[in-house]
Amino acid sequence: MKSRDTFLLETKQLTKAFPGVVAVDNIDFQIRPGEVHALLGENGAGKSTFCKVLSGIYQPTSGQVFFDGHPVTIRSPHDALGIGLSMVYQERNLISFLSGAENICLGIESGHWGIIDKGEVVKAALQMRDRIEADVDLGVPVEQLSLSEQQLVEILRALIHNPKLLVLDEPTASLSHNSVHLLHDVIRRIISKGVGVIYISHKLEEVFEVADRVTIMRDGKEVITETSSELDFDSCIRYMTSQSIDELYPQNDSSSPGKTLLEVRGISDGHKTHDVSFKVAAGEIVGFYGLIGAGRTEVANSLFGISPHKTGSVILDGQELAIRKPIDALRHGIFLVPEDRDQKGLFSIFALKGNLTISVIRRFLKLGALISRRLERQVAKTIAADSDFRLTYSDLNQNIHSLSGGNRQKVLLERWLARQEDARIIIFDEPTQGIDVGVKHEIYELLARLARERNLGIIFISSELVEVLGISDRIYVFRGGTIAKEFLRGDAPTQEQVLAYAF
Amino acid sequence: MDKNDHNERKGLDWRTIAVKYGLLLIVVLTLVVFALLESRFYSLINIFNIIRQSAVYGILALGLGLVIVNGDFDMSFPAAVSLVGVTTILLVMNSVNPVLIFFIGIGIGLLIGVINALLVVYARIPAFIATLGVMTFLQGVAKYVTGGAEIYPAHMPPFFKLFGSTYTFGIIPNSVFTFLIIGVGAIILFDYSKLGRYMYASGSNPDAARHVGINVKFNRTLAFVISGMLSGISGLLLVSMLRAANPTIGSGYMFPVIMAVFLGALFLRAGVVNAPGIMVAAVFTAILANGFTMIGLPFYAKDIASGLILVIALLMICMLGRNPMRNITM
Repeated sequence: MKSRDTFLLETKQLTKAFPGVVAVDNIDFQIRPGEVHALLGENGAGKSTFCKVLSGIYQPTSGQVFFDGHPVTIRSPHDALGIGLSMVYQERNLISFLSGAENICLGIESGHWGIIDKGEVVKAALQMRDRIEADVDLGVPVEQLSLSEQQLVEILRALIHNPKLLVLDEPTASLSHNSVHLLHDVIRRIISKGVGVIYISHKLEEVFEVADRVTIMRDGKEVITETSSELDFDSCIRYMTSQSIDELYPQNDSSSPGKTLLEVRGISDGHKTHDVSFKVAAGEIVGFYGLIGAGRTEVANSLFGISPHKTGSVILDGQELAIRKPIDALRHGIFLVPEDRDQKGLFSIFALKGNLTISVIRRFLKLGALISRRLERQVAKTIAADSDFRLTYSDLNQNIHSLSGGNRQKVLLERWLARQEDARIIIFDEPTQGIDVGVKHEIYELLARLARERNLGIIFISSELVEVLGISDRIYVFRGGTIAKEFLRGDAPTQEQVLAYAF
Repeated sequence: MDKNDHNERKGLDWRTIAVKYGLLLIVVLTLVVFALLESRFYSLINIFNIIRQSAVYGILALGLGLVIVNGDFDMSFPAAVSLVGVTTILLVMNSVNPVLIFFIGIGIGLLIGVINALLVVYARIPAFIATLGVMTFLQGVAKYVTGGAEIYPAHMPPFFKLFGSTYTFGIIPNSVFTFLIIGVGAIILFDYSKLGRYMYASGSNPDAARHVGINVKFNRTLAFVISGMLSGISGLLLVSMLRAANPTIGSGYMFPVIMAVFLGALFLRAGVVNAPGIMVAAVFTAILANGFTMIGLPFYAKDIASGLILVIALLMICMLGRNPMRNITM
């Protein structure tokens, strides 16, 4: 092992701000050669953004990166490879019909005048595979490989550039328990060659198993950096989620919940979810907690008719509903405010006005059929001035993307709040993702008001355990496409108890 | 909030005006230039010629525009025009009832729209390729039914001349009224109906549209069907004007119609395909076609100019931050 004082990579006050949110906030980070340094944090804590700054996908807003002791500016992933930094992204980037070796060769110039000497690169790929003793057939199309073998191909593709530093973003997200151990063995062999590894994860056991040191991030900030042997499960959770923000959540008068509004019995979408049963009472906030991919969003989509349930039943007010399309759900008063507001919520072809009014067009029709621009303006103004939120905007005709993330989320919420008198159940899918604490607070207040004052059933989906615990009257923990556990507020579950069912 | 009102009403800076009405200005300038170069250009007969021509461009472009608003594309319309054209003339030659022929013509267009929708919306074949296949197929059918030849009936029933080649007050071609009626209908659909608003939403972000409860597949299907029917009407209009047909009668319309749609996106609503824009651009396209012929430029000049105009229009749409054909999967 090299001298402990030479850092392979170091960042000083590295910051990356997006409109409305500081994703990476003043991070000082160091990694040594031959070290596995884990980045731990909840979804949205800034881990991935931090690494994307390192690999040149994002440019830092401020701060400096040092590589091998020298200040460097990394403008693109190509630059990063040039200085010896290779990254394996969370999303798979393999071309399914090419073999492992061919995938590894992609983008490598070898030979003269840009003509690729394929044999040469394939040989290099095989050598690399043998060096790290990865058990994967590089000769068959990657679509025939298992997920963990594909992961190894991704890692080999990163290693073929002989990096000094390898960044792995959630490498085990889709791997089974066994494959995780195999991957960790491979990582140990990689670091034995003096390569540093940044290992991003939110899975604690893995981090303890493989990492030498751990940096825990929360809301873009570094909370602590510590040798992994100095940390335990409890302390990590505390650092990841910070307990000192009780005042963030609305007071709960702990009135007993009203009568059952929605009852879901054993629904499956025939694909990602199976046998999901739960209840939502009038005036109740029900939290869905779980890891990404555990089935929370999928269940919401089934309820809303986007991926209708194949088996089981959905009963609202004692009446079984047949929800095949979103319009059916809306007719019965089931609303869904989707996650990922830009992808699933906003229309870039419409200005702010059109985005606010798309759900209530009926209100500004003249003669029962023709849109009145004048009435539409009035309706949009009323929605934008809704007392629940202060939407900050300059002009109803402004481009929707000129609003900050928090304000865009408010637009989406207000679109549905405009129809709240038609609502019975409102599902909020990750409504607080990527927005600052102030707006989060407004959203918590809103959910509480909708539940207590309007007596609606609220389903609140979130990957942030603290907020789920903070505002839910009842929590369902999802794991592997179904509900693993139900907690009532009276159970006063600790984070550890909830997490134990999520993993 | 009063301040906002104020801004919106008074905030018409030069840029906005240029973007909104630039195309109109260009149309007027082009008219002036052609008129200066060739005195016959602004004879009443020629002006009505232009308007007659723009009726066919405009009706087809409104159909294509509607499909594009929904995020799809339709390459089949020129062949649809040809097929409807030759079928109509054949039926006229066989003395079929003119009213029946009229509905058969629109029916063929409708059927083509349904086929396009099945392939693109339900079988999920990328719109370009699917409708290209349909186009070639229809082209072949049109050649088959005529044996490849130009056909013309000895006598055209008056009903057919009515909407295409009869002149009201002896001077205004009736095709102008056909264009205006369809144009007003299109403006209502695009800009003043819930359906139109939902169609723009479907094309802009299908996922978000589904979340608002919009039936995206239905809208896309309807757009193809309406576009097909408008192709049928254009075919009828064209043979009404020409009193003859051949199996490639529609193929010359591919480029000018596409140009009219995207040029039209630079009028009124910056970078967004819209009905009034398409109508103005259709007139402009007809002026160009007519003017280039009249002032006697070399045979290649029109193609060079048209190509340049389309590319520049697309470039400007992109510079306005819009994607000319968002959500089209290729």
